[in-house]
Amino acid sequence: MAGERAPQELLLLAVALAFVAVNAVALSLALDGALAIGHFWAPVFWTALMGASHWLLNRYQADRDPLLLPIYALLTGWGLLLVDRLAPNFLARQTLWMVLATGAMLLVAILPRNLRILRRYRYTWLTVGLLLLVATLIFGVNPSGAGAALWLRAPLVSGVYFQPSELMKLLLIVFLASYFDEQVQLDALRTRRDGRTRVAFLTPLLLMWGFCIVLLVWQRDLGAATLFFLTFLALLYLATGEWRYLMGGLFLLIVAGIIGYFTFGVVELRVEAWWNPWPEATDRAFQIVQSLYAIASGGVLGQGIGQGSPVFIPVVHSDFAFAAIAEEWGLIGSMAVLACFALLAYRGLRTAALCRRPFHSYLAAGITILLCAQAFLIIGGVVKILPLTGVTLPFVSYGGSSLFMSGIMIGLLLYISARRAVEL
Amino acid sequence: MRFEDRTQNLSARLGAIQICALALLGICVVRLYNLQIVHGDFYRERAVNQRLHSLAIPAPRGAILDRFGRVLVDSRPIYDVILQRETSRNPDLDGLSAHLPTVLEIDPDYLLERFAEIKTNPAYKSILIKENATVGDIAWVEAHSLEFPALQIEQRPQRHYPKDGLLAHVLGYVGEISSQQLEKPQYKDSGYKPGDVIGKKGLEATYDEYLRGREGHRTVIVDSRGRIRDVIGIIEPRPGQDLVTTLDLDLQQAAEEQLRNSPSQRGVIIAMDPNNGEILALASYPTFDPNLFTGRIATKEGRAEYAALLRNPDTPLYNRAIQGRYPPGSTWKIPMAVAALQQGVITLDDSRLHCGGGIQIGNKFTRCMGNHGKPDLHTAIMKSCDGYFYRLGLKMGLPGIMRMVDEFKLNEPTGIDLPHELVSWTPSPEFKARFNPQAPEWTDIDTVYASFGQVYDFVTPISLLRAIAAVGVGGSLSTPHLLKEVRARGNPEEESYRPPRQYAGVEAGVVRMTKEQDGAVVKAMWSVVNEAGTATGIRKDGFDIAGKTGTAQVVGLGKDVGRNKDHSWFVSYAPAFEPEIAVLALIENSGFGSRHAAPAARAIYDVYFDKGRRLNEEQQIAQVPNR
Repeated sequence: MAGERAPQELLLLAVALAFVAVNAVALSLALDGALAIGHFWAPVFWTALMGASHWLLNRYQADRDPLLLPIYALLTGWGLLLVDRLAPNFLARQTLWMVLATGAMLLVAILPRNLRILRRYRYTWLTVGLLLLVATLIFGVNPSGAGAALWLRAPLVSGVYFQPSELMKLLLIVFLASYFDEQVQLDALRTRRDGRTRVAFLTPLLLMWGFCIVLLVWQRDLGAATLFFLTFLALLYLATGEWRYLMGGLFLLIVAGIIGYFTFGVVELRVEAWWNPWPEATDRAFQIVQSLYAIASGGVLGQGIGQGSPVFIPVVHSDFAFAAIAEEWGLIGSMAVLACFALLAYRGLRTAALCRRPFHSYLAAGITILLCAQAFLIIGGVVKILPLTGVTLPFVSYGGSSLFMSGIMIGLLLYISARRAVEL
Repeated sequence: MRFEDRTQNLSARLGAIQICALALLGICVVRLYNLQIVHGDFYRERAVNQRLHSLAIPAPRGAILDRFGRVLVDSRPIYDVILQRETSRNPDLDGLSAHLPTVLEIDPDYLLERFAEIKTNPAYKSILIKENATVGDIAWVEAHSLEFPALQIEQRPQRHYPKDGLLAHVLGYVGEISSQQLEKPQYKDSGYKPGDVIGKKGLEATYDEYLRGREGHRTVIVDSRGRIRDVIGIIEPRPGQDLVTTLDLDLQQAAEEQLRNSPSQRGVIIAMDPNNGEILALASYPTFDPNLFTGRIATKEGRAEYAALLRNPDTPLYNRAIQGRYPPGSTWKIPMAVAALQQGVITLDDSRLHCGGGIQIGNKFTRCMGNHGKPDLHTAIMKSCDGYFYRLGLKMGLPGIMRMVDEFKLNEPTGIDLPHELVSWTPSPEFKARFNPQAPEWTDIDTVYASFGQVYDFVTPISLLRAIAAVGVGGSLSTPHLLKEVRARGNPEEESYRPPRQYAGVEAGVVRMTKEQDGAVVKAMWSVVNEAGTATGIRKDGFDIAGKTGTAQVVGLGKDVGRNKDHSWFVSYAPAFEPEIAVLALIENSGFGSRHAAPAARAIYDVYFDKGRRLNEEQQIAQVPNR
């Protein structure tokens, strides 16, 4: 089997490499009018890493899904180009994080037994996650100055920050996957024959809802709260097959949104800027209106890398990276990003479906759902079909913690996708 | 078996989730297609919807010079550190917030507030990081221009006032126009707008229209995305016109030095040309540093400094020369003498009145400082005989004293070209009624008090100086003023040319009296310094000073110490019979007029005399370079 899959992956990686290389040349010409070394060292690092990943994975996980690495490669490579284009000061830092993320991805994908560790110590992970949350509530800072204080300053090294909510995402998925696995095995989460629901289902539902409300109230972290809750709902549905929980959960989400609208300035602002940004286009809704202008100016083929004006959108390099893609690569580029996430959803959920062990299924599905839901939240926000929630576009946006955790998640997916073949 | 079933179920559910995911991504596809293709033109049109923007270029404010062209105030460039986003890409806020608080000494919270502005401001607006950067700040910013290209230095003219509060009350200071000022038609209709810098006090306020110039504009086309598309025109700012004042910096410095070294360090010295009202020096002490209001006031320390100035019991912010009301004491005898002669209460041939060591009115005896027998007017002024003037006042009566006040215009503002001048309080039945509601009727004892410069007489130093200086020049009252000339600006052929403008004061009138009457009072004032009077200690050979001392009791009349000590006055002019310069000195709470005020005035005369008595001469007037 290995013999059939590896060339497929290599071919796709070559396509990604071609894309990154062409764009690096174009960016260099557009910004400096000549080939400048400054625009090439990051892509060179990236190429080396992706080549090494391919080689190592061939050696240790021959039966992995051949689409996952190319998707990861294309999106991170695109992300590096964007950081170079939009916020070159951050390029070195982002490249470093990319190296770390890819290293972590490989470690997770290659080391044996890691799923067992994850599963066995699930309450430890949950405790660690909650402690980090409490620590952020107390010691949180915001390195860019303004906004919600969602970061922890790294000890010893100055200028390094970590966003615990990124780690929380993975810990939450691991905990939920093992928890549901356990509950299903105990047959506790099933409906009674008479069709009535057991109260036991409601407890985790309400607990999770409460947890997300805490995130929202104390941290004003709208994005993470929404994302956690959506992922939880999807996993709950997956484990129980109950539509009612899904509906009930969405109802709770809307209730929380309405309460938030009347209680928190942040939520009210986001909702109003989403519903009708035009009255405040030069003030509070400035960002979203600028984003719409940028996207629209992309047209079909885009302005070309380095030739649009995406930098006029405030903080474009993190929350609005997708708007920059839409402006400079046009509809083609934005469709390509969407296609990448659609493929990720397809391959990730397929991996989940093929697993024999429910824990693996839940884990793979959870990771896939989280990454795709996050992509949908921010893309939906940037194109104004949803209120802005302030999450990053996975793999693409500037942001070390997010990239690092996304790498680990892809590593887990690779690992699970290879395992199932062995276990079959 | 059940396990198998569930696995099948799981695949079905995963399928359902997959369909959901594809549906949601499908919504994004439709939306993007709409945004980028179907309605693309709508947004593109809105995005290039270009607006004209006018970016102000501040006009350098005119300088203020002394009468010989020496610079008293001008505008110097100061430097602000700004975050400029028009040409550079997204600033490295992490790096900036790590470095700026320490290297530029910026409060981290303030920095975060500034950074928050980035999200809501279009790119062509730069963001102020630090005002008034030091040389070290500028060096750091320039050294790190590769690392932080968005951090830049912007130059801006700022008013620079002399050190040690020199001339603070005369020059005043500038500040941002207040919302109350903006509501007044005088400002609203002359094109002032919020954020404008305007003269708040002193000459800066009076002559703001000349000093401020007119700001220039850079008219740019900005599209909806904040990009500057084109610069379609620049209107250069028109610098303000320079002001040449009547002040003589040497005399001013001497005056402030006298006050600084006086016992109470509180008081007023004014030097004026009695012939035309040109103010040569005008000092009020204590003083303050006007630079506070142009720079430091924005900081916490600056606001504390301002609060301390407002609380200070010595009222340093207030210009005692035009806003202080003081009992004039014996200096009041000069206008009284002129008025008595003019009104015929006494004549030059028959001016003798009893001193009596004081006067008994009802059951109250009001003392004279000595017993002068039956002096004539000359002796009464020379010796400052209170008893003489009690009787003179009684003969004139309240109507006579009020007519004198009218004649010397002591109950009117002098019209000096400084804002917020106050009017003296002078004797009248209404004043008595207001002053003492228990016994509102004017009585003889009140007339006695009013006739020697106490209780009912509170004059501003400037109005008293004008009145007494008029005696020296045959009775013609002048309007004290500080403006000599507003200088021309620019080239006469150009449209932006501003012509010069001389001071055009109004005639203040003449105190009616005969030459002989005037001569007698002048002679008496001469004798105060040069014969056997109260100020012979300041006699100056070859330069005859004529003056009158005053020792004014402070109302309350408690113990004669501290703030209850008498005010020391000396009002004078010289040379006595053809005056070129008149000097008033008032030292608060320091006792006899001859003791402190007269020597202070003498010091001013010395400086004037040593300079060669020149006020207008051919001395080369320095030109302030055109900016």
